[in-house]
Amino acid sequence: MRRLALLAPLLLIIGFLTFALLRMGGQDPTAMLAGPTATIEEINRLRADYGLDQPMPVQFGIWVGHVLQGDLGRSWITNRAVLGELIDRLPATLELLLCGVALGALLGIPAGMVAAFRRGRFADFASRALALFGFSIPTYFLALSMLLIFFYVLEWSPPGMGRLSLMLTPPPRLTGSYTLDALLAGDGAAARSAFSQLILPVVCVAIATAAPVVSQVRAIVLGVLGTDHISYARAQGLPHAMISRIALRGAATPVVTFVGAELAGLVGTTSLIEYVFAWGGVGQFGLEAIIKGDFAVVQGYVLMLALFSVAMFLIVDLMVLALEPRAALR
Amino acid sequence: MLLTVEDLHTRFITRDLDDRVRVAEALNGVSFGVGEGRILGLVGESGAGKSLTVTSLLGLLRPPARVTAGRALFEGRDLLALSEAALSEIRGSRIGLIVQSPRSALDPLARIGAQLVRVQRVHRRISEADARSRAEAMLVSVGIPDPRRRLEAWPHELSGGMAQRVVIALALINEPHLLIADEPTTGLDVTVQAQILDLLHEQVRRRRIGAIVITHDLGVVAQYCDDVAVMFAGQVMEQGAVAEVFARPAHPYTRALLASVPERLVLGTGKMLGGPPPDLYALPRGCLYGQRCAHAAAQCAAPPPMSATQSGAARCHFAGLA
Amino acid sequence: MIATMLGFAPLARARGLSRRSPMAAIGVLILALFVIAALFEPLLTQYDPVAADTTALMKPPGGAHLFGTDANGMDVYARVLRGTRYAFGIAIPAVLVAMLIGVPVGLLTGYLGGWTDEVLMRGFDAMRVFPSIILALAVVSAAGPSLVNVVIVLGVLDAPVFARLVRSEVLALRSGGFVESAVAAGNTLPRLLFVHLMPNALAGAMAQSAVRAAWAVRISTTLAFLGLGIQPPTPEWGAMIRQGAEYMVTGQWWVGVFPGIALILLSLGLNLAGDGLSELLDPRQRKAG
Repeated sequence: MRRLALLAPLLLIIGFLTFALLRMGGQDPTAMLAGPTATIEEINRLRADYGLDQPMPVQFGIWVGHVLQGDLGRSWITNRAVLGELIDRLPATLELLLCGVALGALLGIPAGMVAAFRRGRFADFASRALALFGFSIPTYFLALSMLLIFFYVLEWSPPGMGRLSLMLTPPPRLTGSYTLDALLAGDGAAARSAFSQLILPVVCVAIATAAPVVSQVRAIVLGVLGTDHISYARAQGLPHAMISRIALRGAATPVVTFVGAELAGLVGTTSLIEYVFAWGGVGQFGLEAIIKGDFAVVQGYVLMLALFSVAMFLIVDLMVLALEPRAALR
Repeated sequence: MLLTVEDLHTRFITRDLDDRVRVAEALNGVSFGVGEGRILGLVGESGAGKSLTVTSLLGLLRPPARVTAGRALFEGRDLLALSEAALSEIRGSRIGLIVQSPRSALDPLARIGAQLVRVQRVHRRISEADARSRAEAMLVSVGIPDPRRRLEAWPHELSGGMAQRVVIALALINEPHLLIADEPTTGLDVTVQAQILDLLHEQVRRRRIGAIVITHDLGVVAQYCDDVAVMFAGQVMEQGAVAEVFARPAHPYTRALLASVPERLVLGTGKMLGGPPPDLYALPRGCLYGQRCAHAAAQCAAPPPMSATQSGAARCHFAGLA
Repeated sequence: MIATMLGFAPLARARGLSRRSPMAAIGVLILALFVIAALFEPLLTQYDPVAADTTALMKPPGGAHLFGTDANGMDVYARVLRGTRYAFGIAIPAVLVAMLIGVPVGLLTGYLGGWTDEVLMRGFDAMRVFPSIILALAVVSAAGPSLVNVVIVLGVLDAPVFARLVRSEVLALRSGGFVESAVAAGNTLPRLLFVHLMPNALAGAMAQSAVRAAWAVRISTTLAFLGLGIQPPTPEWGAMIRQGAEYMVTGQWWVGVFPGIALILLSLGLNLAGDGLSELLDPRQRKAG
């Protein structure tokens, strides 16, 4: 819980740093907003409207005040409220991220465990080699290669253009996940299309997740296997399978902590995958905002990422509390 | 004899950065016996190979350490020749082990009761309920008050002394014939140390089982053990009944040990007892104690045999009865 | 990276590297090939990597053009070779910047402890939690996408890794009584830090430098891929993959695939060499022979 208390001021610091950074960058969004035909007076009036003529700390104060009222400003590109834009796009990102991370953890955690238990043997070598390969391939190139192989060469997959075939109408929005919504609406064609669009990006996220998970889980389990209580379990003559169970139980807490931290960091990777597959989630939106200098969107996006990290930490802490008898003391 | 160890050799075989094989000769022909109903004190400075002897016997060595020669007869079977599965059946049932650091040795994620029940049900056919009531009785006999509540405790909730009592209970609960205690009182304060040693002594006597107590404290040996084996550089230098050996030490190393205060037996400074232990990577050919021995002579360039003495046996050219 | 190379010298000398750690040996071999490509690029191809040839647009691999040509008629093979220089040219200085910042910071916080240490480490924790690619993108986009900016930003973002590593080494050395005896011998603080602690603490940082160089290559090419780093037609791998992205599913795969493979191989080489190096340097992980 102490970590959580530290994260509150952290949010403010991250907010301010992004703010300062973007302002110092010298990109003047008003010029873009006003268009090529605007006069100097028009631009200056716009600057005053947005409070951009004020000193930076004052601007930051104004921004924090607005944020607290739920106003993240307007996108200078779409000319819509940032908060609404982010919320509209959030389910698409969560769908991709959660499915991908779940699949990646499902593959990576057992692979890391097997590598640790079979240390120095073929299974160890193979899973480490695969992890290293997954680690070395850049995310965006992985995504492009997937499209090349599964769409162009094998023709198994739809083109990487969004979340649904362009021929179909999206199902009525309930959860925000096209696949789920289409199933709920009983629209078989849309569900099939949404699901097939989902597969490749999810596999990409899963590979990006699994690679570091394998090596980390391997190291964690090896560490646990080297502890006093495992040697003592052997001295008690406990059977091999039971010792493995005790070791895995001991590895649970560090593994959960690691995957949690990983999940927060994977948002960046997911953004790149969204970008290649034109997924239209928050990640792609944020990425494009950074590239184009859409100031208010970047601010909101960064804030949302920070909130997401805080939420992840909270969930991890709660899980550790459930897993560890010793944690209750802290 | 309950346990007879003969000529046990253990080596650490590694490769260094330049890919040269390096061999540390850690145990160099350890031999000793443990009689039924007797307590053997295994003494020596840190690094002499006391704990390594036990881990070698129980098949608990981790690479790069491995047993390269020797026999260890326990109840008619050679422990060093048994399969891992067969050894695993003996560990925790016929041989109980008490470790140095009870608090880190107990499984941190299992309650005390669960650990006591687990070790019984692995080694014998017994119902959960019966195992539980035996666990409760066992806690009482190792002097833990309020056993019913303690069965529900987590290891981190126990004090060091209490955790060591739990480890003793774990070692004894399957009624082993041999109990091995590896420095059972390290890290405990003095009054608790005496309580734990008294408890061990009492349990071994009452159950008429054999025991090995590893220690670097000669006072412990004098007070609690029947026999003693003095180890140096992976060899037993002298052995015999405690009273005899302490009255008439035949080996120069035993004499030096007896003349020093126990606190100085801890490994560290090269000052202790006239010099550092020999380099295990380059052992001398003759007597391993030769470099530190005040009485070293020309014969000592050849390895001394174990010869009978008035008090037992000693590995020294000058210790023979003649 | 220079440090890495120095670190490799004794290893290369060791006859048994390939047997001790086949993975590290493969890594070193891959790196050696890339170093050769970077140094002797003009000898390895007859084409100028930035010369457009309108008579040979989008030629498939084979014949006169080993890896084919791109939409400008530039030879993809020559461009991939030249790209090696950009990869090393960004990664090596970025890792040096990271070490220049991270090592002193780690030495100081490890030595001083207290709240300085607490605040810095919490700050580094926060940076680690935040996706590094987003951070790098935001900073580069604000600072302007010049080569120097990319190097500095990557160096600064990666400094915590080295600070953390050196700090933990210093803490381990302190608990070993090293510092006390050095102080007793009459050493001053800077002398203690840089003359006595640093050589000991640096070993771990060295082993990590190859892995961190792989990270720097990955992030810098990602920036270029997103159009924020080096711009086409400069033969930088990320920028080349960006050029090739649109042709990936229309049949002209070679424009993007070859720089991608080069990128994977270099990254693999750095990671293999780095992992193998840390394993060899860590006595706890040495295997029995």
